[in-house]
Amino acid sequence: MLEVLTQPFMIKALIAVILSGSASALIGVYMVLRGLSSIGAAIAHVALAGAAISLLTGLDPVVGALILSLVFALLSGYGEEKGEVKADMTIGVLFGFSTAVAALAISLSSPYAASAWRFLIGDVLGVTDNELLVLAVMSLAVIGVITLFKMEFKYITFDPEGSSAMGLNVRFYRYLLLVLTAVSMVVNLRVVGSILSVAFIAIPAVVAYQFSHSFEEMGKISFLTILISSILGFLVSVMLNLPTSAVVGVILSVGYLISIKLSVKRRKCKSIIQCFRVVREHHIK
Amino acid sequence: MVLNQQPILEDLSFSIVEPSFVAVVGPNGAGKTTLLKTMLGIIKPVEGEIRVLGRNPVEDPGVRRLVGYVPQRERIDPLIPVLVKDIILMGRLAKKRFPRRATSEDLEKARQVARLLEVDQFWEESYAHLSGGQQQRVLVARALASEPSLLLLDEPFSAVDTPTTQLLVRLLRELVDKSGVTIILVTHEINVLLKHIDRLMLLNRRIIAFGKPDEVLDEALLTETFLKRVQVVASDGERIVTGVSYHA
Repeated sequence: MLEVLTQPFMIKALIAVILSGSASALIGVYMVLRGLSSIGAAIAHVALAGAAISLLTGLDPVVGALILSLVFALLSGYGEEKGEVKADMTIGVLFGFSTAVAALAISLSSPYAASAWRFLIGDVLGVTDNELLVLAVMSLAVIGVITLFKMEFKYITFDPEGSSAMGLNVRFYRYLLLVLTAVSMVVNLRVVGSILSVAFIAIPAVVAYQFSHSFEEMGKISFLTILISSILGFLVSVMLNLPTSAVVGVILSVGYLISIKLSVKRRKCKSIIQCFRVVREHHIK
Repeated sequence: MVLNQQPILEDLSFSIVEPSFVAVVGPNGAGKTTLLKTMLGIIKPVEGEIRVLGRNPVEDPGVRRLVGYVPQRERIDPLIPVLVKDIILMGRLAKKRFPRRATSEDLEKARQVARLLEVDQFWEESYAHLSGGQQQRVLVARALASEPSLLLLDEPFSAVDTPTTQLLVRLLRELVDKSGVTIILVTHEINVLLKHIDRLMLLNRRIIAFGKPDEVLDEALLTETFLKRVQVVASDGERIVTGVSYHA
């Protein structure tokens, strides 16, 4: 069984999962803390609609998904900025609309329905060399930009009003974050599919939140969560012959439940070691 | 000033001599925060012009680098995981150019204001672990870390303990006297400030009165500001304002 894991397609698949997961895990920290993880979910479905329409019209699905998700990301940012309608309402409407458009496009593109289906649940084992290259460039670009502007993203997440007063261009960084989310969702589309993209962007960050007292800690733990879940999910999916993305999603969800149980925040302690001491002392009493 | 198509402040005309300690009081919805945001250039006046440190903050946003701002603490999510040292350093780094690296001077200055505000012992702590008063002191330390010429504070005494209020009032007065910083403070806690401020502004959509506290502290003017009867009583030789309600 282990021989299978050394096959080139398996190595490519593992790299693809780790790359797309890492970009999502880092983006997720800011999206979750800003209460915008639902925008991530909506963008994932818009990307699916873009890919499905592209298949129907003969365009490259990645290009179609990227264009449509970028347009949506910028529109949702504009809606949030204007504040005339609650962001949640705009997202809800566009979420439903994009999913309906995607379903319609998939049904109309019957010769390509299988390809479209891959964008819904992902197909990590089917990633080609070219796709891996595109995916690597996009993921590394997202990770690079986040690393470059981590300070600015931290400031606008903690205190947008104060950041603006200090002269930071809050508007620019807010839109940049949405653009990065859109790119990350398009990367995820090919690897884990639109459905599990939501898990990739939200769960590692939420798990990390339970153990973090700073953005840096949260970023590291979020990255580690996705790394461990991806490798574990990969091994389990190969052993049990199950879809990799779905297994990674289940492992992430189990990880979330465990994190709630072990949360240093809920136990009001400063580290997991201190938390274990508190629990042990409680049991001794 | 207009916000969401609603006029918030009208017929505003005043100037402040540097350095001064100015308090702005008025009921909720009087436009106090809008006034501060206009001074920062975040809100554009529909008519007229505002000059802050001799510069127009709308046309020249660079002036914000000379201004320290303490927003209302309630507007910041206290559950966001961020360390005290990161918040205080933010005051300096956000005003620097990219890549905003902290130098030893930045760290030294940040530590210095942390000691001044008595939050140095929380340097490596999470902001979320602090009490309301401690969080407020961290936010003031952040504003002071940038060594501003003008300091704007929005409700700094809201829901904070008495020792923090006393520490802040004493410290702000020292800043005006020793460092020449001009302070404009929006507050509900008028009584704790009366002995310490140079000017008092009564605001309710327009300036009702602006001048030395002794001149402005008039029952008729206060009643006009708060739209209900406000009394000024003498106690131990000090004047105390009673009956102030912030819900006009």
